[in-house]
Amino acid sequence: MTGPEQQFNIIPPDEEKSGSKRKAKTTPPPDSLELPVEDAEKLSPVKEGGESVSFLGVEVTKGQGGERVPSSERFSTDVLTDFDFRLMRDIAVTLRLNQPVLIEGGSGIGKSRTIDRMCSQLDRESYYANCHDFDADVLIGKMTTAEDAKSGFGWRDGVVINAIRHGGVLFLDEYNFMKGETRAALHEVIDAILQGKDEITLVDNHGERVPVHPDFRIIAAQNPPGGKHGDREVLDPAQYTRFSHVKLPEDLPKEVKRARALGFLGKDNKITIGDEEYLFSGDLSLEALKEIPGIEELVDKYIEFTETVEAMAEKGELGADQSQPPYFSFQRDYDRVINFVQSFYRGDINDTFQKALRYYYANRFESDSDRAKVEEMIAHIKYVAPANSRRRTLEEASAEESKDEENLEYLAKAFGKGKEKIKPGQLVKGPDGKVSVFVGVSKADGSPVLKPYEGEKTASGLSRPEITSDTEKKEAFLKETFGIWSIDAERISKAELVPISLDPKKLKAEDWEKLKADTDEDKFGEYTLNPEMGSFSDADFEQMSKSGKFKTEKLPDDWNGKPLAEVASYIIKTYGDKYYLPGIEYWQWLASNPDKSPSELKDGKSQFLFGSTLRRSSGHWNVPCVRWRGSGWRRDARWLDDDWRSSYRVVLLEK
Amino acid sequence: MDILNTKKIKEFLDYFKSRPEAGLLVFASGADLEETKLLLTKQGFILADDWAQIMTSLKGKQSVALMLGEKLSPEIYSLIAQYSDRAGEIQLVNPATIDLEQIEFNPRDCHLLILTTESDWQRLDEEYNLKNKIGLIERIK
Repeated sequence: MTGPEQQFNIIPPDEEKSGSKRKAKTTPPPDSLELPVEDAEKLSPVKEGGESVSFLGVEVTKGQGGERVPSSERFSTDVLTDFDFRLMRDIAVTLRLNQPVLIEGGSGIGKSRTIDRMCSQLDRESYYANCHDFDADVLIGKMTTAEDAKSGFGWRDGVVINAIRHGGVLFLDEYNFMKGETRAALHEVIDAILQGKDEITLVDNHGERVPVHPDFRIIAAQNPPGGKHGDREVLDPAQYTRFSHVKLPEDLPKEVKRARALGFLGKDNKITIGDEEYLFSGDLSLEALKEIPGIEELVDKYIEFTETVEAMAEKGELGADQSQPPYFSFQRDYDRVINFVQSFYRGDINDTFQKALRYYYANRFESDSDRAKVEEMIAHIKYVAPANSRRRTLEEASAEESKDEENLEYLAKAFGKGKEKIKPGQLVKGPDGKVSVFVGVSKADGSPVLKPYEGEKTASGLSRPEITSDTEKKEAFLKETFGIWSIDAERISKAELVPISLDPKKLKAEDWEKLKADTDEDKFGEYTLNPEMGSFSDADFEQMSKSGKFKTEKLPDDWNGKPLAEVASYIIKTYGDKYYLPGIEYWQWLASNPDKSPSELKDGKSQFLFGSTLRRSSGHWNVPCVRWRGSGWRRDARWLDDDWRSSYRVVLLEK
Repeated sequence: MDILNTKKIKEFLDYFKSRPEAGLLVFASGADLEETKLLLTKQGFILADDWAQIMTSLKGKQSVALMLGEKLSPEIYSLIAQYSDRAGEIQLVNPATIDLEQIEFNPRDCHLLILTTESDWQRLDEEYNLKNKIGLIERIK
């Protein structure tokens, strides 16, 4: 078999490129379910960095080594499947957030081995304690004859206190197969961790205060009580809610067994984990979190959700087939959820909140149907921006304005009142009674500045192209793309996919800057088309591929790290005269024709199509791009404020 | 022990040695169990009924035949559980000193074979559900 690096799909640190540092953005990145292209290019289920290892994106810092770090040789022949990577991600979350977790599943599915393997990868010590039948003093410690005690009688640490002192991962196996008094003693330790205490008092050792090592972590595991494991106890709510719960199956699903079996033979065990299953770390303070628009609404919906899930579980409408009932503790669960959101927020609060709820709630249920029910409820927990920030149609604008007395008054009095209600770009009735576009307020005298409304236009003042069957196909393609990006189906169905005719050659540097700064979630789905490309058919694209009339251009290195908006200006200035700049129409053709796509583009680099821009669900304008992933194109789009990377290319079509 | 049972045990051992899990032989007859101990000794197994002895043997890359009676100490239970689940490492608290003792080994090189009688096995499995911790099981009647 291959070595552990290959088995774990680890990318060694020396392969990391120097440009991997992301600069902090104050505005949201694109849909968080998508990866930054930079990350996507290094996408690997397990990725080792110098100071940390990430498991499906969840970054966990390495420990300080020690004699109890499992040796990597033990895992050199492991075959890892989707199941294993997901479990590693879930364990990584608990290690990162320092939240005790209870993993419940059948024997032999890989719980212990996964934890040991991760400890090995993380250079963290592993302390194993099988809880079955051990007395509390064996786990915690006791007074005993000790060579190092002057009196000949002294305190010896048990495995738990050892782990606390030295900062290991304490693995409490068979947690529900434990004596009651032992569990009571352990609760003191777990509670200290839950309360964030930095020391534990050993009453039996003259009140010694043992500092809790910052790397100390608790993972408990158990077989489900009842059935084959009749002696295992059902944990009561007080015990259960001390942990977050990851429910695994009693037996491995058939496809996991098959993947492991094929992998053992050296065959491709087909890792199918999608980008959306990755969790990328963020860092959000509580102060910043409370300022995020919609957080209050989300908390309200969350409370409603927890009450519903709890009631359904109590009534047996959820988890009825689970011998260990899922219990809930609002405060503990809420603390965990908020901690998760702070740690994994990447710009989309709805998405991060929903991921947290999937982790802490959907994960408690085993059956697909239960999970589907919980997932469905979670999908509705989202903040929706108030309707008045939507871009309104002319009819809506007129209707709303006619109802809005203050607005009418404002207009009638030549904008002397209530002007805070009118936003630039909004349609209003001017003093002449005609519908106009409100541009702003004159700096000279504070009077309103209006411009004539010239039919249906976008806020950018750009005209819509004629709606044709091609437009409808593009709309279907874009909806499909948004679906691939795991954007909520309801959101997609409500999106107004507005095509805008925009010749990129006519945009000046400041226009690109304006587009970069233009953010409006309610205009999600707007996209621009390069009119120069309007006459191209699929047959033309195919012919150009065959005849090599295209170019994939690497920019000079000094463009690396500059925002795409700036790069766009350069590209147009440099290549605009000699080349067509393809956009979404070419994006669509490539995606639909992977076999006919130019092989030169299939180099694993991100190929950008500057002929179009597209508003993603975050409301930002993005440049579409594709990247070849072996059997097809991965569609992506990068925000105009994202940095240009050395691995990016520009696609140009010869004139 | 009759020829058929001897053959059965040898076939079992051939396959068992290719597996990284604990194995189990359940004997209807105590006499057959005793004969099997001899056979295993000839094949290089160390006979053991104590956790410390097993740890020492595995650490020394020697396969172990563990005789189980009707009782199972927490240490032996934990050892069996770890042998299969952790595949290559065992950590046990020494109940006398409460020190955490640890060994690493390759389960493909040094095996753990459990020997017991049918009557003891029924009690053990009922109480500890050991079947879930063990890979190959063979009954010698």
